[in-house]
Amino acid sequence: MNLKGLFTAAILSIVFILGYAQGTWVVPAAEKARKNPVASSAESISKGKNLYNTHCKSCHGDPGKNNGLPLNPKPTDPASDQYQKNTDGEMFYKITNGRGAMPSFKATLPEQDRWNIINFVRSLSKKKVADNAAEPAGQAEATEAPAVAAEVTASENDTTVATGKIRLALGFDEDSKTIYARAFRIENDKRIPTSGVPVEIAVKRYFRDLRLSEAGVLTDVNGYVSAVFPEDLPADTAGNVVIIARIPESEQEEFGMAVTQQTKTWGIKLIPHNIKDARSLWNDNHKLPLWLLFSYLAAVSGALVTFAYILSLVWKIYKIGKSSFQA
Amino acid sequence: MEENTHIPENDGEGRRDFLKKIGIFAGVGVAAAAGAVYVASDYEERKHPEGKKVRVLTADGQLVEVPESELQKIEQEELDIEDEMQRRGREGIPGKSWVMVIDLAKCRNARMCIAACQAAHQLRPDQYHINTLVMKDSEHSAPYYMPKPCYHCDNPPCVKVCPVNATFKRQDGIVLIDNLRCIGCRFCVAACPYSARIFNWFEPRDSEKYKDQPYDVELNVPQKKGTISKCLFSADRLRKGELPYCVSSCPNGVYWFGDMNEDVVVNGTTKEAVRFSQLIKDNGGYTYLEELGTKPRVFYLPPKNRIFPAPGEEQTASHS
Repeated sequence: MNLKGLFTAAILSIVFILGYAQGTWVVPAAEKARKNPVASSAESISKGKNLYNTHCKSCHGDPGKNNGLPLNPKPTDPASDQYQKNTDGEMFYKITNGRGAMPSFKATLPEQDRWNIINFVRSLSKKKVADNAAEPAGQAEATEAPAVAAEVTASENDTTVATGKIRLALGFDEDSKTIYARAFRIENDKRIPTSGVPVEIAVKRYFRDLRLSEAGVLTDVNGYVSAVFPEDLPADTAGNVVIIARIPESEQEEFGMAVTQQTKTWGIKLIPHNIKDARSLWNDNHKLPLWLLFSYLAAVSGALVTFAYILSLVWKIYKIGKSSFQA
Repeated sequence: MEENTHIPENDGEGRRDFLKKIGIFAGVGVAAAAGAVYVASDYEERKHPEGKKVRVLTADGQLVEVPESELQKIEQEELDIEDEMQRRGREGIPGKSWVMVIDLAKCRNARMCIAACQAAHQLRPDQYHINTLVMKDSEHSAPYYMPKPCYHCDNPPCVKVCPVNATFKRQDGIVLIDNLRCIGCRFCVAACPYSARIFNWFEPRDSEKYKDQPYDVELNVPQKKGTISKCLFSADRLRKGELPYCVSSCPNGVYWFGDMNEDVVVNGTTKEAVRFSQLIKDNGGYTYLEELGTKPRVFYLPPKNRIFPAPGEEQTASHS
């Protein structure tokens, strides 16, 4: 009886503690009622997805897979029904202020970006209703690329490595150092430009490639994404840079893998510079500073000269002693 | 004087005779021994055409016979691996100039970097190649967490004082230690103004487990008692195109790592690549105690707009 009572009390208190830890993130009513000022567009969702992968994924995991970090309280899966119950205002408040291990993004993410993330998170639940609904293509602005457009379409050597239907082609404007990537499908031996495809343009680097295009950008009505090559980007000793267009890894599940690359001599030539060429105290023995070498040699040779001089004096004394003895 | 120059005749003859006899005996003896060895080796050869065999236990527990010459070959190969690791460890990766950026605003003392580092470099829990310190510069300044690795200075005081060339700087900027050369004098510990170096006072962690592993100068494993160790910028991982242990294990995006020649650093958590010069310029990056003229390769971004509460502060939901 007594034991049973204790046991019940223990369970009750555990439930109470858990409930307290997880369930009482109270959001002020005014914040809760806040409306999302950013309209949910393909562009906003794509940007939000990109931001989610950068800032949220390391703890919250892949949406829908419930594989967040085992923290207490556990980071909620944004695709879960439990999370989707939050109003836009509640989500915004929680992202902005943080709690416990959840950081505050007030200083690191502009309001626009926080709303973009919320649009992405909302799109996760809508997906269940109308999966992959085609976005109206006319919304995105067409990039002006008249001369290059022809070039890309005409180029026959398609170097895309792709697993899905989407293929990519690269075009360049040498004067303005602008890169155009075009996404297309091949239907009946014709290339049909595809809009709304997330494509990133990047420059090859050692660990990860440097993205030049805007984060989460989608192809426009003509299937283009463009980026300007930075004037001051270092390249190899010949000025070669490898430019890559591809579908980002996070989007490959939906669009398949597609990547194409080309080498350009747009970068700043790297002047080979080996820090070990300079003479220094910290360098290898044969690269010692000249002052050290000369002062060392001077000290050693000075000592040797002194010894020789003393020996010569001893010799002189010996000779004088001998001659005076004979005399 | 005259008496001393006299040599008795029979004395010299006797010695010559004796030496002659010894010589004949020795000659016959050597010839006989050589013959015996030849006959024996010929017999052995006929018995085992491929030479002498040795029984060894393989990794999957089978007892097999292997010619002795083969065994030596493996040993030689292992030595070659160690030589090769020493050679490339001294040389470094040509054309690279490694640099690290630590964002103090993002550190919340999760200590995952420390755990990953200690696991990789065979360190005891009380030995740190990287440590996070609680900093408070003066009475009225704000406290913050500061991860402190070795700064791999371009003007390293530690390398200057080493009497045996055990610690050295490579062309890619990394300062390494060769534990096989180190004599444990600890001059470098005294010279380093950042206290980046540690000394193996005791037997290293799990030394039994690591003792047969060939020594990798880019990993400092196996660690050796009585020698120095310190942060290596995970030189072994960089060779494979991977980010250092600490950088890739951080859950909060504190670390950026990259090549200054490429002007790109990559965040260990988000894997985002950004321009190094831009990152430093936009955020007021600095190096620690740069007035010492050590030219560190690790840059800090000031703890501004921090996303986690400062050390010792309670998390409170502030209203925007």
